[in-house]
Amino acid sequence: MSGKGVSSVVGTVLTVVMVLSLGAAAFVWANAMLSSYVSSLELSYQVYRNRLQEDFVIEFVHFNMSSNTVTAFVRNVGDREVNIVSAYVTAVDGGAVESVNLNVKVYVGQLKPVSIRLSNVKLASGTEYRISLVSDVGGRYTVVKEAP
Amino acid sequence: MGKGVSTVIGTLIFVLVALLVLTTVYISFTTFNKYVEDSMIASQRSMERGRERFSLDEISNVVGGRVNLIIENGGQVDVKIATVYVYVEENNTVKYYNQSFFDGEAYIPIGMKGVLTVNTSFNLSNGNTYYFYVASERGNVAGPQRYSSTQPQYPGWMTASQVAYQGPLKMDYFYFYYTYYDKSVKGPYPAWNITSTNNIIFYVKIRNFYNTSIVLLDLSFLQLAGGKAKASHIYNFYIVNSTSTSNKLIPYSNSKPVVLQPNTQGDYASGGPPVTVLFAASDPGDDNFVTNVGEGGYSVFLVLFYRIGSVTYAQTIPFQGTNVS
Repeated sequence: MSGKGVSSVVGTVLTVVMVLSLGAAAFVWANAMLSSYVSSLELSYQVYRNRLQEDFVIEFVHFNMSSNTVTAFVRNVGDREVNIVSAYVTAVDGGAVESVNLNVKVYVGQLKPVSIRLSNVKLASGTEYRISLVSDVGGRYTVVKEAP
Repeated sequence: MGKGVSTVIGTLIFVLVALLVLTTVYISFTTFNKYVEDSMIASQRSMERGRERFSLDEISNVVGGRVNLIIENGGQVDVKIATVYVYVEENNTVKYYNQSFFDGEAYIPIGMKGVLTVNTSFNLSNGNTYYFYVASERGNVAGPQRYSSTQPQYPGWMTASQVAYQGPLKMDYFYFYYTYYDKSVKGPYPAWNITSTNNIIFYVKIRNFYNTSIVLLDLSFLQLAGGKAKASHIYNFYIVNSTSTSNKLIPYSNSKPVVLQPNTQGDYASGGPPVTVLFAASDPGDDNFVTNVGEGGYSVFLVLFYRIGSVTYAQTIPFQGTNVS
């Protein structure tokens, strides 16, 4: 009787240990997987949301022929701060492309002149130029303007 | 009992895992909801920007650097002007002015015209050519509207404040423009200095300061008096239909007259809405251009015949001078 009792206890302990270890393993695995899923999901959506919240326009472009500089007047019309990180300038009818690295922050509602000094592209009167500004979250605004 | 313990533990672990899954689903939904909300806000912003339409119709009442911009809201949403850009052609410079340079709020309701007074740092009467642009809070831009004030350099010239008005009609002192026949001419150009007398059309803006409508008659004309031979040279340019061009004049008809409305809406700085009136014909109700206008300085008179109700009146405005070269 006592032998039967021992084996029953051992069996129960073994069952509990197995359930605990398998359950713990399943919990740890599920936790890790779901946490990873949630993190990547939130990160992805945050990128999308940043792009949705960001909105900026180029209101006006001024060409300074003597200093070979283009100034784009940028307004932040979105719901989050914009960080302009690069500018591209090229003549519409072809030719060299100027790419310039920038680091210009434009706060919500703010208007800011962004100067782009050109070295590869030489400004010429009467020529149309395509000017693009790109933000750190991939937002882009492009205008085509003719130099006076 | 032993079996019961492991069942309880198993159940607990199952519940924990289920809670984890539910939490994940909840977070996923919340994140997605935020994304949807942002999408809707972005769509709304984009849609409103697309529905916003406004134009910079006119520049008037220029005194020093202070200027009135007449802006019309032709869109489906209210407009708030955020920035005014002024580009100076002569020295290729640009300046911009925000709310702090405006007199009052730059807010234009749907379907209305509004006057935005801007205090610029320019002396706008210095003869340079200025291009005005206005930008809204949503980032839309209207313009350019050109302004130039090349003043005549001979006796008879007077400033806007020196013009005396005796009657219900006033004109926009600075809106005195002309076109002439030339395939390359885009005009109209300021008429302070007339460089060609070939098929001239004068453009003048007139406002009604009376409290009822005024109907212009075909006897109205713009007169140039003077020239090298002084009083012997007088040229009358009679009113023509507003669709006339330097290629072809359309006769003015009293049956389809220009009607100057009173200021009933209260949205103009003074007077009723301005109307651009064209003067070009050699005779009343005629479609022939005035010819052989000689060189020299002229005094300019605006002689307006008009009807209020059934009664005919007339008013003369000796408003400016011009030079024909």
